[in-house]
Amino acid sequence: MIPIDRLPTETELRKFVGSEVYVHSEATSFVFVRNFKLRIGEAHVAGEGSYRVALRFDGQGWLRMEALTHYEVDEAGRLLLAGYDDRGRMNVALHLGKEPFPE
Amino acid sequence: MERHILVVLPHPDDEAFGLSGTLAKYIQNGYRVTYACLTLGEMGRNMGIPPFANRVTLPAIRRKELEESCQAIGIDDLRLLGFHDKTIEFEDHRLLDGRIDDLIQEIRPSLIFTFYPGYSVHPDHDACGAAVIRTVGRLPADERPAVHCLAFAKNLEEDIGQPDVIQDVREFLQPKMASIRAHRSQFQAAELLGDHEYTSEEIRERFGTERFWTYPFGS
Repeated sequence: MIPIDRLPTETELRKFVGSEVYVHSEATSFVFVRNFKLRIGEAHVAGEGSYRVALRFDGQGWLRMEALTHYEVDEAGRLLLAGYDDRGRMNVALHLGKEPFPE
Repeated sequence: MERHILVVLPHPDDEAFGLSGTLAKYIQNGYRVTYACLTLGEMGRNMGIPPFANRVTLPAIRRKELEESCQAIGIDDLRLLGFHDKTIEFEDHRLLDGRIDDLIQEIRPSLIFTFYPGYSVHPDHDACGAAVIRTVGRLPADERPAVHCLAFAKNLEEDIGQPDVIQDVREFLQPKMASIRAHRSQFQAAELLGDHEYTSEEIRERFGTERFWTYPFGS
């Protein structure tokens, strides 16, 4: 995983705009949702050091996460965003793929 | 000419602690106030103690609280702009600025209150202030109303100096406290008001002054 740099990360995120994507999203201690399918209309990255990501989808919804710190594009072309604390523990994750994640 | 103030803030309750006394004072001095509130604070975490709201009911509850706060202050023109809490920084600038510009053209305010962009902690606060500053900045210099900004980031005085507008609102603590109390889902926590019986001296000390920074537009 590499530290998020706002613009390159936003560029990767925006490659999913206009497509149907499968989302894995979690806030570690409390909730996860796996293979939530949506069509992304807008994608944004904001912040400095710790980042906020927002997706506007299906013409009527928002997915917004904060405390994201790292990202990578894996060999399957999936965009994996995550937020870690200073002890390397993951707090939040937001993963996007064109195919479902393994259930 | 009617003297008109425009307030642009993102959440119901943003007016309560830092601005309500000043607005009550202006209104008593003959100003009319239009308050444009960008969202209904739909994503708020505070739901009352014990909780009387939930994620579904919160918007309507906060709308009522805001209306009650406005009534306490004397604001008779509240505009709810219908954006969603926590999304202002992601909104299309043309859409957001256009809504603010429409209000400015309609109201022709001589003074605007908003948050100081970059020094107001919450992304919605900063994005709201930035939209107002962009919009006012596009007006010809001789048509720009003054913009008085709320700010409360750490270390802000190193960057933007001391507040240049200090409002003594000790005579307007009754509407101010009523504005704060109106937001009962948000400010019920004991440390704020609920369980404390402040002596009037304590209230005057703590709530009697409101501070603003005049935004420095270039030419």
